[in-house]
Amino acid sequence: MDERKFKDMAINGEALKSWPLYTDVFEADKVINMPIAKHHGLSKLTMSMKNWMGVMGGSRRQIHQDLDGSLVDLSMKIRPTLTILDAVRILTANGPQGGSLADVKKLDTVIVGIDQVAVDSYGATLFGMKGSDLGCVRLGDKRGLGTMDLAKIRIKKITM
Amino acid sequence: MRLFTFSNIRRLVQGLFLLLFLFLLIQTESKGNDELGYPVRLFLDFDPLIFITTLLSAHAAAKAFYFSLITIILTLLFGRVFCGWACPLGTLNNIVGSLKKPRTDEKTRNLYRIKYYILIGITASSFFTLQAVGIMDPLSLLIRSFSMSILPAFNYGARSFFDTIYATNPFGLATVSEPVYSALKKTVLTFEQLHYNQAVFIGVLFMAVLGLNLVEKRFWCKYLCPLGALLGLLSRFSLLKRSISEGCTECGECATVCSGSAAPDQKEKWKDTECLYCWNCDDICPSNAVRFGFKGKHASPAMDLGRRRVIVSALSGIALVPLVRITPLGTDNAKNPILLRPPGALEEKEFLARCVKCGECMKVCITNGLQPTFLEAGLEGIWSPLLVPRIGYCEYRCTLCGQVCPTGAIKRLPLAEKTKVKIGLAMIDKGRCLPWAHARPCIVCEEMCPTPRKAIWFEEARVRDRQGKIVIVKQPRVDLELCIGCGICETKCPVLGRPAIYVMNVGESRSKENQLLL
Repeated sequence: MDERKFKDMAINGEALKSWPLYTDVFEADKVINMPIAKHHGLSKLTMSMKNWMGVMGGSRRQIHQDLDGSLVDLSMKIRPTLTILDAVRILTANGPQGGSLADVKKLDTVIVGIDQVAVDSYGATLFGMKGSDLGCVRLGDKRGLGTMDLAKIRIKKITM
Repeated sequence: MRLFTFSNIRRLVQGLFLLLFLFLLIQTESKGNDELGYPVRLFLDFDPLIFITTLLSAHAAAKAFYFSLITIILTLLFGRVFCGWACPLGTLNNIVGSLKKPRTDEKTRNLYRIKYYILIGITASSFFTLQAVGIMDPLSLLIRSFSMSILPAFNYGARSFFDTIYATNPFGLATVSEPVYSALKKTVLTFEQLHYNQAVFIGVLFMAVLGLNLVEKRFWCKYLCPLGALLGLLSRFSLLKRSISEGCTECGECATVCSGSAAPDQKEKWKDTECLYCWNCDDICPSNAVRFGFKGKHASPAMDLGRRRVIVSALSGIALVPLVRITPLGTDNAKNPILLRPPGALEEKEFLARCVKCGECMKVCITNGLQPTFLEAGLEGIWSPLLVPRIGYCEYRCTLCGQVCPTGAIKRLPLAEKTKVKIGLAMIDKGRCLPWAHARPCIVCEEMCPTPRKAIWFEEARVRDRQGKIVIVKQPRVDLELCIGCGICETKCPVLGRPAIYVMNVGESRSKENQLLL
């Protein structure tokens, strides 16, 4: 990681006007998001939309004051080509930083999609929740980032 | 001037030891695993002065210190060859000394006794559990000065230089400078820029020690170094001695090049305790009258330390002990609350009896959180490590500080044990915390808490914002039984300046008295 590659970028979202973001994300031809599915104290779960915090520089700990809005703003700015949600092992409690092996569930599942909202909505079901339980998923659906309703999307299950 | 003189071989060996020292120093850094390969503590392991004072003050010695017996044996065989051939500070002194313009009226000061008084003072006080050796032991001084001042300053300079070329790109030079910068980052530069309190103070002291060489070459080695004094005393009984043959014309050339001011032109009165065995006199002697050998008897000249001065030195060292110990910081009630010691640190009295202030733990701390104290631990603890969470936290899965500590002041703990050690407790300032006082959501502290069952939990509260609207916020609370005081909550708390959650050392596992919970 090169500190110099964080450059202030206009976001013009509802929560974030601009933020220092890692330039590599915008210079690459294609961007693939590969988050790991975990429990989170504030947002309930952290999956693909929350993973974009990783490209934020500056004082990103401030965005928790409007977390859902900030994540949707970010996800709309960075339109990844593909999202691959790693649910091989998921952290069901005391995440994202705490927890013990007792909180880890081995699902051996990977969720792949082009719609970040849909991926997160489906990911929520692995934890026994619904997509609509998650604030950023609801807001992403409302603002047209993607679809939260699993009935409206095409889901293909492949067993290896 | 022949190339293969013995003194040139000696210079080569000096250079190799200096490079080895710098290599190990740069290697004393986290490489990503929780395992260090070759920390620079290796040099300290060979240091008999630290071995002896730690044995006296703590009645214990880490096993690695038996390496220092090798140094003692080598000195008993060959004299102060450590000083002349191996010591990296000695080599640096030589290098700076070579910048001094030689003058024809070169004075030799008769100050050689001072280092013995310093040695006696240090040893006497360590007998009474005061570990003062770290301040003036040359290896400790060197590692501390490099780790907390010279290397970080060098890093800053290098980074600024390359960043400027990258940003301004004059004549398209960035295409050349960036690969060079990458190579330096992979080898010599630290992973991130490190920041240390007292960097200027420690750096200036070190440069003063080097600067003394412009007053007289190897000033430190001849007049101040307590390790040199110890090795000098042993050198008195060494087997390798200098002798002068009949061919000596008393030209005095040897005295002009003597590194130790050992009076080589005085023939039989040559001071075996001061000689650094650098071989300059042998190589310069126009009559080839100098011989170093194992045969023949040599009557060592009297050291002439003076009984009264020796007693005063010892008593001064001893008197220092109660003087530094009457600080209220040593009482149960008035401990300095910000003195967060690294996990694995012994109980404070034991810790201070061992810590040699070498700075290795502070160099290796992967978040740069360990900083040198000034007076937070009393004068006795100056330059010992404390965690400053606003600078860096104690990473949950790291045990590096315990791995590098040469004296065991910080115990080396296996990871599973270290994660259970409490170095303090976090508490919330409800007047500054966003969900408590300002009706805004946050809980970054809970998010960051690395403990398996989360030492921070929250209660949902309905609060009103300024417009009178009801906001539901999660208000954090610390679980004092689970909190280990690692400080990441304080580091990451968005309330900059005075944080809304901060760690103090009450509740630290290593102290029986400094407890909170029943």
